[in-house]
Amino acid sequence: MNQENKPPEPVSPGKPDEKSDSSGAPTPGGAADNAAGGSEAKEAKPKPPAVKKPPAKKVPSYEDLTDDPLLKDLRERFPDAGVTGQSFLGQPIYTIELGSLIDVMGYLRGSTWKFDYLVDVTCLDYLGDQKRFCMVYHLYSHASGQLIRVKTRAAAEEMVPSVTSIWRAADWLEREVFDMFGIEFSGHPDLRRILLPDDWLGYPLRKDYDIKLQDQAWIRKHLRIRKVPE
Amino acid sequence: MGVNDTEATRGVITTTVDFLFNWARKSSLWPMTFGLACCAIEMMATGASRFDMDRFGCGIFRPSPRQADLIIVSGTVTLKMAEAIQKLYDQMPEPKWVIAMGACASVGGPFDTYATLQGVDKIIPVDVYIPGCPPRPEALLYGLMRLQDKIDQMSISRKQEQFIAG
Repeated sequence: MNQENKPPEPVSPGKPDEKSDSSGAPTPGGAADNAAGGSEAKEAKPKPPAVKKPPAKKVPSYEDLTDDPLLKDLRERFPDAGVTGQSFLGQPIYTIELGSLIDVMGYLRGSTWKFDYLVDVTCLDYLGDQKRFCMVYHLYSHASGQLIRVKTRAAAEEMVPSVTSIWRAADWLEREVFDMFGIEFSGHPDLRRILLPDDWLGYPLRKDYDIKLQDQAWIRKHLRIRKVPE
Repeated sequence: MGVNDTEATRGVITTTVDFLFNWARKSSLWPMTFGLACCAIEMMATGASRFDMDRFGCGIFRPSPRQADLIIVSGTVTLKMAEAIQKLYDQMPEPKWVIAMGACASVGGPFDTYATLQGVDKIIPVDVYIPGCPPRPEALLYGLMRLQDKIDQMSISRKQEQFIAG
């Protein structure tokens, strides 16, 4: 069979994918022809399919938001909140002041924007900055299918207002942030550790907590470490 | 052990008590269900039909430590779980054996962090270590057979502690 004379064809994602593939991934133009013309094996000579050079990929970076209706709306309603907007790979990111966190979040939930799903609450530790912790909230709206990110900076030892009154899911999400970073939330119904044992000392995900550091006092109290065999 | 061939004594098998006890113990090691993480999946695969652990007598996983004589620690041991493991090990009746399955149970695996116990041998004495992440079912069966060899060397006239390294 003439099929055997052909060199192995590059694995292509298949013809339906080529139509929806908009990111500029390389699609060897010749391979499609070979696959379609496989039945015409008689006349095909062993020839490598013509491979187009992939276009240089743009490195994704943070870009400033322009003409974003939500950003305009927030700036009008909360002029003191210092709202700034960026976007990364199509996801909008809004940075606000800590003082207006509750107001903005309440507005985002209650208004026509209707961000009814608090996807995640997490934190970043920029050790060395005056406002060390950066709280990150991901909000999703089921009605419009929008996913946004809201960030706010907080200094060490500063109490962050809790959003449990707006989304009940924030209860455990903020407990996790408290467990890992030690950030206290004012107005939280039940702020205690959720992952680590209750009497653990230290907040592991802070940048000044060594990766291998274990609470030796806790270990001595709860575990009976036996002598490890040589 | 000898099988006598002469007419008068055919059908008589001589053996030692140790041999008999060791054979009984190694052929019916009942493990406790103690899958913690990914190694548990491999342990389940070993217990399933293709790699059948039951042909070694180890197929009956007991949910209670009181009825088990083998604990296969398969998976990452966190400090929170270590407390529970201690309690369960203490509840197992003698003679009991421990297999540390996988890298996490042996030395903490890739997780040298704040909440992971670096090896379950820090809290309980381990008889057999099986490296791998996760070890293949064949590796677990090999470790099991090595444990059986270890049991062969036991003697009922001496306590089990004398057979544990360290």
